[in-house]
This record gives sequence, structure tokens and C-alpha cells, in this order.
Amino acid sequence: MNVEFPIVTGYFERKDRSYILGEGSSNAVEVDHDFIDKIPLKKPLDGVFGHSSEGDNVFAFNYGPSTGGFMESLDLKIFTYGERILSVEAFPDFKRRDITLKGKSLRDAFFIIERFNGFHSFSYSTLFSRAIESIENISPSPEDTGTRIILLETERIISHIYKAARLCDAASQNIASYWLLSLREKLLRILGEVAGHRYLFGVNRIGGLNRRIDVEKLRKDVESVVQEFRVIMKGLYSARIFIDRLENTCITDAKNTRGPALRAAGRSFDYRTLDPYYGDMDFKPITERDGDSLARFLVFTAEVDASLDIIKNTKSVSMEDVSKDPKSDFPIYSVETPSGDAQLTLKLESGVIADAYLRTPSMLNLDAFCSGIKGNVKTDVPFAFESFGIWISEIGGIQ
Amino acid sequence: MRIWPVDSMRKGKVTTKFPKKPNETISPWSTLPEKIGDGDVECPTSAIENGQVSMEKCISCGACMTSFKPSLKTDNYRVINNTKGLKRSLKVFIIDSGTCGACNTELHAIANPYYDSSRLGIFLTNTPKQADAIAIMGVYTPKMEGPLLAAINAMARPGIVILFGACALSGGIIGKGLEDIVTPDLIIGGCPPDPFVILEALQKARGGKI
Repeated sequence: MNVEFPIVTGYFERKDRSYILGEGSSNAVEVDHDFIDKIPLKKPLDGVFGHSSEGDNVFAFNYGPSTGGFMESLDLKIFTYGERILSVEAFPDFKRRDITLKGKSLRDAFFIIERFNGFHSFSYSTLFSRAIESIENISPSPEDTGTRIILLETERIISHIYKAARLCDAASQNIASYWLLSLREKLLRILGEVAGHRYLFGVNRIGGLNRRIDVEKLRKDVESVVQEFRVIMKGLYSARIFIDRLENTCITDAKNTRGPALRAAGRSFDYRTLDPYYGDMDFKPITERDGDSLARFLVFTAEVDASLDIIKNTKSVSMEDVSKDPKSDFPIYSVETPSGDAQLTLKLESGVIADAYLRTPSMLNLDAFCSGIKGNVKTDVPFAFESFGIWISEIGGIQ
Repeated sequence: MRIWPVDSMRKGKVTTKFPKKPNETISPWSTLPEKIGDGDVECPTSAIENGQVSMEKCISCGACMTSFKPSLKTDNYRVINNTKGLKRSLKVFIIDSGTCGACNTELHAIANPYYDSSRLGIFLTNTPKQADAIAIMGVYTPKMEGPLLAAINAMARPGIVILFGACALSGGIIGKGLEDIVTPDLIIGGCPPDPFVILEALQKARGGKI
């Protein structure tokens, strides 16, 4: 079968058959082998981010793999003849952890997924738990489901605050950067207090939550942090030097990005609008039009307020619709992580993982960065990179 | 127009007085669990032996919570070689061999206003040439072996080699550790280690008072 998807977001091959994942789709669709070669994003989905350049006096300026500029190990080859960037080739495989889920028990696979991207660990552990709960027809309690939403949104707020801090740091807005880092620390301490772990390790489990969370305290504390966040944003939105550095930097279109970067390019897609967890909420994706670093900054900072609204309005969520999740050869389970939607297919056999494929937002966003940075100058690299919220740990390596 | 320095001064001081005074907080399950009962526990990394939890193997999952509770102590580290001559200033270079990202951000957290490691003379640096300590984190990955050994060789002496977090110490539940590749002077347990634990461990390893 051959199908046309608006955007193909992933693909995998099993037993001489090829399957693709579409944006927001709930099932992987079998396609002809030839179709796979025509997928525009095939290279980044394979972990290849090649954008080399040639010409008179062009040389590759090597940045990485271990530098203070990036949080994780990443090697960039910046093709240039001086200051202007002709293209950027990225090599994220220096820290490639070849993680095998196949043959693992559900418990071990859960702990591995929880530590796949520690910064967004609750998003990934929720994704995995929900997949298993759907396959095994397990319904978490309405209270646990509600608390999961609150923790997912708290993780999103922490991630967005951190991105804003890194952007301010790159733009030499040091006071704003340290202030934002102190807000992040405040939230991590709150999580440590109410959930027992700053990164929410061990909180989730298949079928619900391991720990009772003081949701009222969490709500109150998150609200006070977001109020302070608004004060900082008010200052940054009017800081001409800061705005100038982000405006027109690393412009991307909506074809090859996920998450806030996608919405900043004008595409109104947020998996939360399709997610049964967020079913009854009046939630609208936040969008901008320009697709530059400033637009991405405006989107993810506005999403902090949107997440707070969700946290304030979530009580308990009945998940009777779990059993309505689609059944097919390869159903797709999704979650909107702070960096964009992640999609997982999973098969179980005799209580162990028989097959898995995970497509993460950073796989596509790294390529969007490499494409968008062309024509900018080398000093733009940090603003551009940090505005995407890319995590190298979630690029490649899951089998 | 916002005047940032004025705003930041209005906010007041948030920095801890640790280690002169006790830590105000800690991430409970990042500390080493201690036994409270005799129930059967299935540890995913076999970190429990004879009622003791190995700091090298514990991944802070809390699967042992029926018989163990977090110790809430800041002693989840071991100094193997004391290094003298670094009491005034210690510059730390970070190498990510194969992390999930949590160890990276926790080590960077010691520079945020709540911990302000610079008041203790501890700074993060961007090059191993200027470093007095190298913190290596994450599981073993073949392509990072060369860069991390090159960084250790490039570091000035005296220097401290740190294996940081459960993944680097034993591989955790993800892969293989770095204990066969690197001879550490300091090991710090936790998944990820709490910033207070990191501060105390760095102070101890350079011969400072706690």
C-alpha cells in the first residue's frame, strides 16, 4: 500500500516490511520499500545530519564533541570561509548509547526509558506506561491520571525555563539567566520535596504512580514561580539587545521540526489537542509565524502560562477511553514532550518487549537547526541551538 | 525599562551557607537508601547486598521502598586519592560520555544562585587545559573514549579525575560503566547526584574542611 501523509515523522522496517508514522497518526502504516527512500526526512530519522559545503576558501570549523558551549557531547562541522555559515554538519553519535529494549522485562524496559532523556524523564516514562496500559487494558486511577498531567506540565515549565536561561546566557543577559536558573532550582526542589526526586525518577509506574503527591502544594508553588517568571519575561520582551540577537536568527519552516519549533513556524500542531489525557480541556496550541529563534522563544515562554492553566484546572481524569485506543499491527503511542511529540510503537510477547521503535523530537529538530543556521554567522550558533530545546541523549540508539 | 541589577538586588540572597551550615534540602531518592525492613526487594541493578546499597550501582529508582528509605545524607561519594594544592581554586571540566542529561544539568546546577560554587572557589571551565578536575559522566560509548582520555591527559597536574553518577560508575541499567577505562580520584554516586552531595564531595577531594 502506498499512502500520502502530510508529514511523515518516522519509519521502521520489520521482517522485510516497511512502515511509516504520520504526524498525529495512531497507527503505523505499511508502505512499499520505495516509499521509504522518498521520505524527505529520511536522513535525520537515520541519524545523519549532513549538510556539507564546498567552494573556494571554504573550510570546516570543528566545534566539539566536548565543549563548554553545549550541555551534551555533540560535534559540529561548521562550513565557512570566515564568519558566515555556509552549512553545518552535526555528529550526535559520539555519545550514542545503543539501548536495547528487545527481550527486556517490562520493569527493566520502564527504568531504561525513564533514564533515556533524564531531563524529560516523566514524559518518556508516561509514554511507555501508557503504551503498556493500553496493550494490557490497565486503567490508572483518575487521581493518578490527573497527577500525571500536572507532573507532565510541571516538567514542561521546568524545561522551558531552562531553555530561556540558556538563551539568556548565550545572549550575555547574565542577570536574567541566573534569575531563571534560580526559578528552575526552586521548582526542582519543590519536586524533590513533593515527589521524592528532582527529576521524577521512580514516581511513575505502569498502572499509576508509586508515590502520593501533594498536588495542592505543587500547584501553589508552581504558580508562584510562574508569577516571578512573568516579571523576568516582561523585562526580556522589552530588552532590545536581546530581541535583536534572536530576531531573524536560524529561520526554519514547518516541514522538518517538532514541538515549539514547529509552532513557531506557524503550524498549529500540538499533540495535546489529540491526546485523550487532555480531552476535556479547552487547549489551543500557541503559534508564531516567523520561524526564527525569537518566535521559538515567544512560543515556549507563552507555553509556560498555558501549562500553569492546565495545572490549575486539572483535578482527576477518568481514562475510560484507554480501551478505545486503536489496535493494529503497530499502534502508535504519543506524548507531547517539552521539545515536541514523541511517538512509540511497541510489541509484547510473553511479558517481555518483542519490538519497539521510538521517534523523538530532537531527531528532527537537530536537522532543522542544521538547515536553518545557513547564512547566519558563527556567533549565532548558541542562540539558534538553545532555542530548539534539542537533547542529544534522545537521538538514535533505541532498538 | 527594566534595570536588571536593581531587580536582582530586590530579590535578596538565596545562596546556601553549606558546607558551613547544614544543607537546606536534598533530592531524597538520589541519596543512598538505608534499610528499614526485611521484606524481599528486587533491585533492577543488583545494588543491594547484605542489606547494604552500593553507591556505584544504585539508580535511585525507589524499587526498594518497601524495605528501604532514603538516607537523606550528603555522603554519597568516596574520595580515593586526596589532592593537595587546590584549596584556593578548583576548575572543573565536564565530559559527557553517554548520559541521559540529568547528571550534566545537576553538575551545572552548582553554579546557580542557590549553590553559587564560586564562593568556595569552584568554577566550571570550558577547556581541559585550564581544568584542575575532570568530571566524567554517563555510560561507556566507543566514540567518546578517545576524547575523554585526551582530556585527562591535557588536564594540568595536580588534578582530580571524577567518575560521576551511577552510569559512569557501573553502567547503571543502561550499559557499561567507565571503571575499566578511567582510574578515578573521586567517585560520586546517585542518579543523578544531588548538588549538595557534589559540593561536599569536591570540597573533600581537594582537602577542604566540611
